[in-house]
Amino acid sequence: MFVLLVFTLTASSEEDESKVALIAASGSGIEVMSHRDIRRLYLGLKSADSESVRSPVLNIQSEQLYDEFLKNIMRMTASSYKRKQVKAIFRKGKEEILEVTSLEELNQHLQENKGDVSFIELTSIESMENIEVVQILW
Amino acid sequence: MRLTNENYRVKYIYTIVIILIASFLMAPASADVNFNGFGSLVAGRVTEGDEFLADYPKTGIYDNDWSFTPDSTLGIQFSSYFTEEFSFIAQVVANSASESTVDVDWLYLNYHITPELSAQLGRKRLPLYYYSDYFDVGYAYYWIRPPVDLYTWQITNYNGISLLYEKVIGDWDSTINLYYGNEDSEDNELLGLLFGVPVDESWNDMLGIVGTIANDWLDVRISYMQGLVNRDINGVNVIKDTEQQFIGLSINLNLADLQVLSEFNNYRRPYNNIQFDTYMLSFGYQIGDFTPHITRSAFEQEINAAGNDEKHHTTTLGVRWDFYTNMALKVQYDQVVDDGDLVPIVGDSKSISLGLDFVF
Repeated sequence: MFVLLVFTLTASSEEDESKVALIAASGSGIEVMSHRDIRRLYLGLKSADSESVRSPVLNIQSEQLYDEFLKNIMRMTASSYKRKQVKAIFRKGKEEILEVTSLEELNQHLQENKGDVSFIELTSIESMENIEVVQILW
Repeated sequence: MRLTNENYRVKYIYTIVIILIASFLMAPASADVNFNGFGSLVAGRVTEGDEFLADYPKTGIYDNDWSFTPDSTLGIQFSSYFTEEFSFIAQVVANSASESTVDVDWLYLNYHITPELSAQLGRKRLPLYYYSDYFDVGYAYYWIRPPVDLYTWQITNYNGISLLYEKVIGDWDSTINLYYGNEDSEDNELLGLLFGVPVDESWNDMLGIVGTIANDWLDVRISYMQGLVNRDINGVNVIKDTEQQFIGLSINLNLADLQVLSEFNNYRRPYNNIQFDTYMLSFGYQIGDFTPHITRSAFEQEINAAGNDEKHHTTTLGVRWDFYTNMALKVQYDQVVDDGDLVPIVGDSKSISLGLDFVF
């Protein structure tokens, strides 16, 4: 029984380690978004739920996580995404998407900017305060 | 907007002042203010032939000596977000080729009427061609400069109003941009080069529409503009309120690492029996941080009673290297064949350019 429990917990923990979540400040009222809407948001466009969702934040603490986000959600490489951002800024005057380099910085920003969203590895949620998971991205 | 041109300054200073005062009056103390910049440091020279006209609007010309002047650029964009709906955008660009010190490319108020519909009032880039909006932002494309045979325009901005509608339809992102405006260019640099004397040009009552639709692998853009042309050559009016039309089509493919870029444009001024076509086809292939590319572009004018026969084409080979975050190195070879007999531009040439593009 004990062995089974340990195995289950270990398997669950390993499963969580590979999961990535979309997060926001607790009580932000953001509901599950389509991948298309998330992609749209990270391209500098307004979300379909613009009442609740404000701005996206790029979590670049982990290069691997950032690259996986670009591959799985944005469907492009880092250099292609950068060029898209540059075009959006200098073609349409879009606001530059904020980049954060630490979980502490991300935690603080999301708390101070209710309605902003970002992405983290699911296991990192334990170290954050007043942050809720909007949805599992993959 | 040439800041060194006194008449021009006077003409638009009131508009600018009104926009700025309105902006600051409306701006709360907590308004978000952002700065973004871009630059290109480019050196080049002609290896065969006499001259290479690398930048038509600003008349950036390479000759047989190495020069940084024709293509080097520095630009800063200032944006202030007063509220979720209201923002103010300004962009100034310094080109070493331009006679003026600084050009104001953008200066407008943006208002989001709905999440999908926004209105802009002020000065913007004239969105005729695919790369018109960010022509000076070298980092955004793989060439040193967009294909020169296409971007042979003497008017690059307008002052007026525009509406931008952005809509997601299934897997497709679509936009429709409607605009109306005017632009005066006193002592126009390109026309001055071509005619050899001072030329004043104005494009009035420009009414245009740009439609785009794009998904992950396909990007299609259609552009149409009509308006009136006025031209004074050496103080003598030679064109007065003459109709002109422009139509453009771009189809771009992103197939994994392969990029296929294309653009086709047609310009007409029927009253003067002037018509020309421009086109380009380009292939780029990304190999890690490197993107080698090859491009063929052309300008072909139909011969008319006045004998206008401007005709030239360019073959371009190059490589972009994304060697560092926000920076790219480029090397490019251009071979120009100038087939114009009565209206030669600068003749045949072969040239090499090396560039560093960056954004900050």
